[in-house]
Amino acid sequence: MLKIKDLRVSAENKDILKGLSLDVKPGEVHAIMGPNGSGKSTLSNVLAGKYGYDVSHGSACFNGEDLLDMAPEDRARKGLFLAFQYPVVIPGLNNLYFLRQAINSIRLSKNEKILDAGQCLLLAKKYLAELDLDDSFLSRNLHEGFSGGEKKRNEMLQMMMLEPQLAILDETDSGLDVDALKTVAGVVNKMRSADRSFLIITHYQRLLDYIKPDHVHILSDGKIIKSGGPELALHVESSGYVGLGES
Amino acid sequence: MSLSMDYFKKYYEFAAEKSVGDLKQIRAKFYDRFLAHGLPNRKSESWRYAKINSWFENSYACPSVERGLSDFHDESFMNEVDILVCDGVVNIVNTDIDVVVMDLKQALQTYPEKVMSHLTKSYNYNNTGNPFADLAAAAWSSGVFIDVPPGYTLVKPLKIVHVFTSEVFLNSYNIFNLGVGAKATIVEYFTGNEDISYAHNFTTSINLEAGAVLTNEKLQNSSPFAVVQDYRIITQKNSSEYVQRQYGFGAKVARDETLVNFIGDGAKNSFSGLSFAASCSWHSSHVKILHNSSNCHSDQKFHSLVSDRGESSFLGHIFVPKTIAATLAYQDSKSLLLGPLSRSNVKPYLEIFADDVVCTHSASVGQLDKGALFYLRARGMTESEAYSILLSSFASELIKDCQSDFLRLKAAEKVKKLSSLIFIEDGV
Ligand SMILES: Nc1ncnc2c1ncn2[C@@H]1O[C@H](COP(=O)(O)OP(=O)(O)OP(=O)(O)O)[C@@H](O)[C@H]1O
Ligand SMILES: [Mg+2]
Repeated sequence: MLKIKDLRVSAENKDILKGLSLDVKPGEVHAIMGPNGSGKSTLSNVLAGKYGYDVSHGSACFNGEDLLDMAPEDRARKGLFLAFQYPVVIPGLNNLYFLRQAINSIRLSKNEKILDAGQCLLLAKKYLAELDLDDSFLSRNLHEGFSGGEKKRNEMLQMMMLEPQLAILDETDSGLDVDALKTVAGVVNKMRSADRSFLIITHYQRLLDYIKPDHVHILSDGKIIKSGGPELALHVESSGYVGLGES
Repeated sequence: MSLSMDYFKKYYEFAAEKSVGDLKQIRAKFYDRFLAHGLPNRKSESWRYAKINSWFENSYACPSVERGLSDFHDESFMNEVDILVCDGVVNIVNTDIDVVVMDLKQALQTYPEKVMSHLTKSYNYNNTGNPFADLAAAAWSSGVFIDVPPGYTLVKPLKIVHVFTSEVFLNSYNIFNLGVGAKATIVEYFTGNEDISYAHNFTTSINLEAGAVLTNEKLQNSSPFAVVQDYRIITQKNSSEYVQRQYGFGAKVARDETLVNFIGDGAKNSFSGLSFAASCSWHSSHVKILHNSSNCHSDQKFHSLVSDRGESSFLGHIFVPKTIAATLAYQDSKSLLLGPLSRSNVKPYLEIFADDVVCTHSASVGQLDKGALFYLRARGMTESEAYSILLSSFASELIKDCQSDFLRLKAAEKVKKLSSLIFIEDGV
């Protein structure tokens, strides 16, 4: 589904990703861990199409198509979803209206029927309940005054509504309390399917107690220095990153 | 070519020639002062960015007495209108209004003292101020007079539409008077044929007696060739409340100025303004609040969007003399520049001599948030959709409270339309 080959990326003349390769197959859950500043968000941003990065080398294909050549909206329309590490606040933009614009731009591009305000509200309410958020979040402005955890759950709400093929969760667990963490993990597990994949970026083993990854990768200084199974995350939890990748 | 004072003479003479008695005298007083002051220059802060020489490039006609709506292209407001002012000709369309609403010329016959007292007040208040306000009061040939009696609540908003269908220079003078405890909402819509140029020089004298409450909403959607100036002088007695919401979109030059004088304790004034200066428009808004009484509260919120070669400015002036107690004054202005050549000036100007004052102010000029643009695109919206949503969101903070459905929808529609005209090629 997602094939990244020897990706090298810089921003403002600083090399950030230094030859990163990754292969995510349909139905798989990959976890990426790594120290602060190692390039995890850069990877997610480059995949989602954020401006300001220079890709000097390598490729990223999504279902066989060159991802790096697409506008951000086309990537979203083809089923890529990024849950932002820092969701933006947009004063004056009603959350429900925003959700409806998002879902309909994706549905339109797939020639599906668009949802009217009532249908969108029903759907959003259903998922909000699963996320333990109350309906009032829909009438608020996008992330304005939301707590850290509420923002993250609003990202999950969007993921549920947009039903992507590949979801990248950039530290969605940071800032969540224990109960919210379980809730979010429950949502991910429920959405796991044979043709949907996840790339989960996290600092903590804790989330992976609830979401069993197929593969765990350690990203350090712009490169994947070690890949393995869930046991790798346990190792990081107990011993940190020291010594990894030296073999 | 520089503009001379002679340019305005024919408009004054046109209006003043048939006047007699007190009216003739006060017109002459205003006109003399207009001539004595001369045109404002850049030394004055509130005219610093005005290029007055280029405002009046045409020799506009004097307004004629008969005008039909027949050649107006957009009549979407027709269901809305109670008073239709077409090229300056006042038509009271709704004859069922149960407060005094009339053509100012008629009011001059029926309520001469009231009209003269407003004119005198305008003369006294504008002694250091705006020459064009003097011109409007000297040379007015059109006006609407509204008088809401004490204790009376006007349930339905009064809707006034000003339409231009010909290339005239119109000076108008309007009076809104609310008696003790009266309540009203007055909605004004300014529009004109899109392909003509005209000048509208407009003064409104507003008086709120004790406990009166007025909500005044207006939307300026003038022709892109028009020069429109709107000057409001507001006196507020004890515990009166004035809410002003204004939305400005069209015009080549749009300048508005609001002067508020608190002349009784516990009065409140709330001003909110949105301006979208597109293509080559020059928009300038000024608010001056004279906190001349204690326990008064004023707040201003102003947002402007500027695209292409547009220019916008906001000047908020708060004055609190030494002896005044318990003043609250808030001011917040934000401006978004959407093009490399767009310009904006936002300035708080505080003259506070009293100690017992809570005053906060903020002014910012910035660009569209690229992170927010990316966020929306990452959710499937195209660049231009995302752009339009962000501009509408910025504007919606001011639009959402508008009581008039017509104005609210119109304002949202204008923002959307003007956003869609902006072509952006930075980004990805
Ligand atoms: N636009 C940019 N311009 C300059 N430097 C950048 C830019 N984006 C990222 N960087 C730098 O690249 C490095 C990687 O940043 P990135 O945000 O990808 O790290 P991360 O692994 O997500 O860290 P964290 O765990 O703290 O979220 C950092 O040193 C960061 O300062
Ligand atoms: Mg990060």
